[in-house]
Amino acid sequence: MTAFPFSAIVGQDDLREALLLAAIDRSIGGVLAFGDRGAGKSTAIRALAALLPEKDAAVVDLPLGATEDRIVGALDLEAALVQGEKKFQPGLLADADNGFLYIDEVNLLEDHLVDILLDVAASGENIVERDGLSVRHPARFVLVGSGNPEEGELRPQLLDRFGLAVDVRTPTDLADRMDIVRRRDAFEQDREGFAAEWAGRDAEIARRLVEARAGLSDVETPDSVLEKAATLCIALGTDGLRAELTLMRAARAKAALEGDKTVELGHLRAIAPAALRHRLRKDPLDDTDASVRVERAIEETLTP
Amino acid sequence: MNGLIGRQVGVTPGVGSGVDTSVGSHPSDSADIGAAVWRRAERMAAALTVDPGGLGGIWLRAFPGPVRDVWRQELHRLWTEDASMKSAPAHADIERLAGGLDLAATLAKGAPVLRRGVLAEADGGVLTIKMAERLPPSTAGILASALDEGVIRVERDGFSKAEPARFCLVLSDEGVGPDETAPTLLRERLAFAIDLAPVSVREAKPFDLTGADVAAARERLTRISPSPDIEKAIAAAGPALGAPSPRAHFFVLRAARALAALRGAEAIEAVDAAAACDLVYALRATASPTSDETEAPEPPAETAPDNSDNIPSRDQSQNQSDASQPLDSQSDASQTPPDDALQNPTPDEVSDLIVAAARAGTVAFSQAGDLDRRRMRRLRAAGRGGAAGRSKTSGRPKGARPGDSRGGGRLDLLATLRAAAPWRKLRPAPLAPQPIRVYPSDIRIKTYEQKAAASVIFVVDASGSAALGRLAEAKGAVERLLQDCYARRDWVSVVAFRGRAAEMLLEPTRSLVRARRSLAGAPGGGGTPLASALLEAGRLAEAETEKGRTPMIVILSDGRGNIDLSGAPGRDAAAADEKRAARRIAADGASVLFFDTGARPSPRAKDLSAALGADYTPLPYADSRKLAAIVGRETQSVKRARQ
Repeated sequence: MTAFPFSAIVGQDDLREALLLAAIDRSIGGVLAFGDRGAGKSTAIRALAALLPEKDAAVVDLPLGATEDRIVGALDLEAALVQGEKKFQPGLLADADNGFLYIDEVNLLEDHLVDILLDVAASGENIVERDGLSVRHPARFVLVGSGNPEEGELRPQLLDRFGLAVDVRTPTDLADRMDIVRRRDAFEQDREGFAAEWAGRDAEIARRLVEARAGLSDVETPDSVLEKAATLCIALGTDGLRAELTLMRAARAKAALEGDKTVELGHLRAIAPAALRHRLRKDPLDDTDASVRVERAIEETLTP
Repeated sequence: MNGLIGRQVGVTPGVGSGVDTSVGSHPSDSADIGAAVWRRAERMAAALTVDPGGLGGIWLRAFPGPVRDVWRQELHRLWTEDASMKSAPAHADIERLAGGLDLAATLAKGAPVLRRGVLAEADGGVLTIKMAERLPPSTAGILASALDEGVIRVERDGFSKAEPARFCLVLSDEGVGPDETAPTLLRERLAFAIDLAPVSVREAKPFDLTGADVAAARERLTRISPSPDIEKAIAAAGPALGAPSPRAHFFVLRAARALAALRGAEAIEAVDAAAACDLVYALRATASPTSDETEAPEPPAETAPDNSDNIPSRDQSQNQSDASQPLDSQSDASQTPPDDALQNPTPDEVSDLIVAAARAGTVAFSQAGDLDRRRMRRLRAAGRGGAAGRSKTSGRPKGARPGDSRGGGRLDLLATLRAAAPWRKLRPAPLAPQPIRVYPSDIRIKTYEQKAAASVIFVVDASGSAALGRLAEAKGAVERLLQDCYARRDWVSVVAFRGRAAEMLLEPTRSLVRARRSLAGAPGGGGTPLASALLEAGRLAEAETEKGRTPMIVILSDGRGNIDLSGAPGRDAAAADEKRAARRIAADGASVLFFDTGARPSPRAKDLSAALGADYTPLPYADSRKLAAIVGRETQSVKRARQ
């Protein structure tokens, strides 16, 4: 089925940029889109799938009803029943290797499936020991999730797996809202026609994406920027190296996307909220929104 | 999830004060409400049939009975004969809904055969989920993504397939009380919501429309587009009504188009937009969780000259009939006098009209909700619905293990066949009618994970001078508990009591975000209506038990209640009421922790604690850390005892 064009999405700049950055540098580690219902989270993510260059592995959907055997892979029943042969049927993790694994309503995913994801996402390898099979295969995927925190919170370990986290808010601007509805309506009336109308703009974004990927390795990161990134992480008390690594990778991808050869403070400032907001330790007595805390720390530390 | 009705309770009094009296003093009005609700239900059914893809479906709150049956019958009648009409219970297996291995066919054929799920079977028709208030979140998530994509992805039992699943979803909700409703996740994705409670059997007449009307409207549908004025008015109405979701806005546009098509028009007019806003926003206007917060700006004065508190009820029925004009015009056009505002409206007037129409709908529904609650109370008094017992063979399936089915285990047929399948060629050929030979070593037993969720109900004394400190500590404890609640799957709610009655401060939730929002700025001081709080806690515990959670009531009080259940001051009457409420809780078997927050342990608190069958702990200096630790430990042990 034809997807909604990426370029036709109104607003959601943060989410769109985060998705592009994760596609430019897969090692950033995926995107979590958390926020208001009906704000178009899944639309944006599915739109990315249509945009990605064809040689990329697909965006694989992990539906909530998936069974464990389909996720990790299992005995090929067909081969077993028909030929009496013991054969491995690869699962969604194998399909998603080199691609994206998308989970809508990720906070509703069953615990035992979350466990599997955590394990595989950490090791980049899927080890199957079931049905008398013993198989291991690479499973390096970019994890993309969406959900609404009011339905239930995400397990902290899984939260940490996401490189970037975006707060998706319902647009309040009247003109934007009208555009959203108008485009959605046009799309529903004639999907192919609407997609064709936007194909040019989508292709332009795809071209930027490919160029950014190619230019990524040439982007230099000055020590001064590295230092600033470290200072920011310390100021926010984000544990571990993951925060700092993600911060640097995302800033570099941002520079590449802009066509710049050097990472600058501006890049760092632009991506820091998405890279850090979900890594803050929660203080039960502090009501301050995580995004606000990050913004504040950015103001304090990331000045020239 | 309970936001909708819970919030409505909060919103209604202001609106209702003008309305309730009218219902009381003019009995005929209550009949009018029933008829008006039924008209709305008819329009919703018609619009859904015309544009099921654009509108998603309907949340139908109604008890089983002839009214609901007539509505569903009539809905089905409007669809073409070959459209598929499917229904499934909320507890249906995911395999049945999404699709999975068809064992019989697989064995017959000797190769895996996919059995289509109900979602795929319902493609192009109507899918009714019965008792939707019981839908588990994961099933709701599957339905939600099918609604979003029009496709059901089967990734089960070795199959990987995407099948078209574009259906009109009817969430048939028999929930009792505000605690039991179909998941928000799904309700939000449906254009319409209606509560049929006020409709009497007499009022539930067959629709005037025919399938041919609908077919003609469908035919017209794609040609109809809104004028820029109408488009703008629709866009402005959402935020003014406190429903900021673009999804709802989109539904209004689609509903307006469907209504215009049904009217036989070639363009969306103000009447269509107003009626569509009324139908879509009536519930959302108060339903949106953010409706009373920053995102919902107060409507500008000129848009809403009437404060919603005092829209006279006459005006509402006026607006109601205006809004229902499109469909009623053939049958009772004479009843509705032509309205000048509708003939040639300016954009601003259109906007006013729409907002007013939706407001009226909101009021009408609030009344419906009240009636609903009254009826429910009676039903409740008559007898209690089955609180689910837990057996060894229930819980979340967690795969299979080798073994035999003696000792109460449940055979996992599929896993057993899977185990046997690879050996087929190696083993002796099966006897004639059997397609496959199963050896004892192949037998697999289903295993279930029984992670009983606990539901911790905090009952916090917010009266008197120490109130603020106590509330703050309780709030801290709630947040601490919620922090690790994901791992433990515990729910937390807060009932605070002060003044004349107890108040539900936080509905059961697992969301830290929601807890913070609800607990911010809770007031303190005044009398001590402990009896009312116990009653509320008992009621909540019962509701939680029905949902399969294990309630644990945590009381923070010095036990010195001085307001009785009628809200009158008086120590003795209060004590007697407290005892009664306590005995009821004890009889229900809920676990209770009583923290005596008095400066020194009081005999009265100990007494009450004994009547509750509670664990009594003196805690003169409540501190959230200690509280969270004790409660966390106790819930764990209660859960273990349950398993």
